[in-house]
Amino acid sequence: MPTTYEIQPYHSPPAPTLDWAEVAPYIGKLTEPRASMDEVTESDIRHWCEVMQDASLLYRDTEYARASPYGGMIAPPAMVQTWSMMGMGASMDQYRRGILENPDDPHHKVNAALEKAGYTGVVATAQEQTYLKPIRPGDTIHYVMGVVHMTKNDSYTRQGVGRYYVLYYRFTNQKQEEVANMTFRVLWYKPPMSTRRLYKG
Amino acid sequence: MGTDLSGLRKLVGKESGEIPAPDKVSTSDIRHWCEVMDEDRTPCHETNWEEKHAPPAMLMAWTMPPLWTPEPRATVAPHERVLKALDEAGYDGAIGLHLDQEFFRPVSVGERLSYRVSLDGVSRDEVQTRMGSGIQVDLLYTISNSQGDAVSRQRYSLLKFKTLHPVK
Repeated sequence: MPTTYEIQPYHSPPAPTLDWAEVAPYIGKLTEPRASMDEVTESDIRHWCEVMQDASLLYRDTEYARASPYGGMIAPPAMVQTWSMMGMGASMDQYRRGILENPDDPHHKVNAALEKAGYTGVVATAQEQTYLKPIRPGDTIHYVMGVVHMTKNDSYTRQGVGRYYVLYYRFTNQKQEEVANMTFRVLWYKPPMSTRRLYKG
Repeated sequence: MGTDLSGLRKLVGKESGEIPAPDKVSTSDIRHWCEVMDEDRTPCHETNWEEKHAPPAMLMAWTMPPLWTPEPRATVAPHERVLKALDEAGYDGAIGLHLDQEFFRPVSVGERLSYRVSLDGVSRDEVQTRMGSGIQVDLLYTISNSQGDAVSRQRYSLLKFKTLHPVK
């Protein structure tokens, strides 16, 4: 029997799509403020710069940074997201065992609804960061995050049929000053063969 | 054979100057190390040494050179010169043979360690191994804290060997 490559006959009923009522209560809701696992350290900044091959003296030379308009050493602004990352144990639990550290977070509810509706593929499509204040060694970064927007209709992409959503992050320091914010646009799609399931477990 | 190693043997017994560790001892680096080592996820911070002290077995980590530097690093210390010379002579592979660690003092968070490396020995002949023929290099690390007190002494031997397919 020849394969149909998942192409449906013309008069087939429309494919089921996401039930908007399942995600609506969680859109625009942010998590509780959380502190990063560690304070900002010169050693973590050095590791990041080595991997990025960023030679800026602002991030590694105390004397140079003191004479600069910043008046002291700062962290690379683009590094801000690393201080919202979970520990390796929690990552392993989430991605290999399916156990969430904070299962009641609104964005996890949105993700679960998307997965249930068959949108099991995930691909990041855009990231935008705004830097408001310098981050310095010794600072403690706190963050809130959540889904603030989702497309109401399916988009037809080369990856498959999917929905875009926008994850919003806001980063503050220990003085409650906003240091940066970030939007992260993600496509959740129905892959012909779910790569996510292949890697799960 | 074929490689003249007599120049290298003159360096045996020589010690490097005091090399400062690239970073201070920090709880964040300790956490990263514990996360990788703790397969059973025993909370590292609940064991008594994490509060004030770094895990002793992590000591070598504070002496590790940077992954990348904007300017090429000068090779001045005897052990660096030997390893570089062996690289150039075709012994491009490296494998650790053994590590003996002695601990004298605990290492506190916030300390900036420094270390000296002495070249203890270079094998007289090529050693034939399944990895390929190689030269054994014995190093002695002396790690000190900011007061100049020795924290640990570590004997480290490695084999520089000719890989079958050079990794360049």
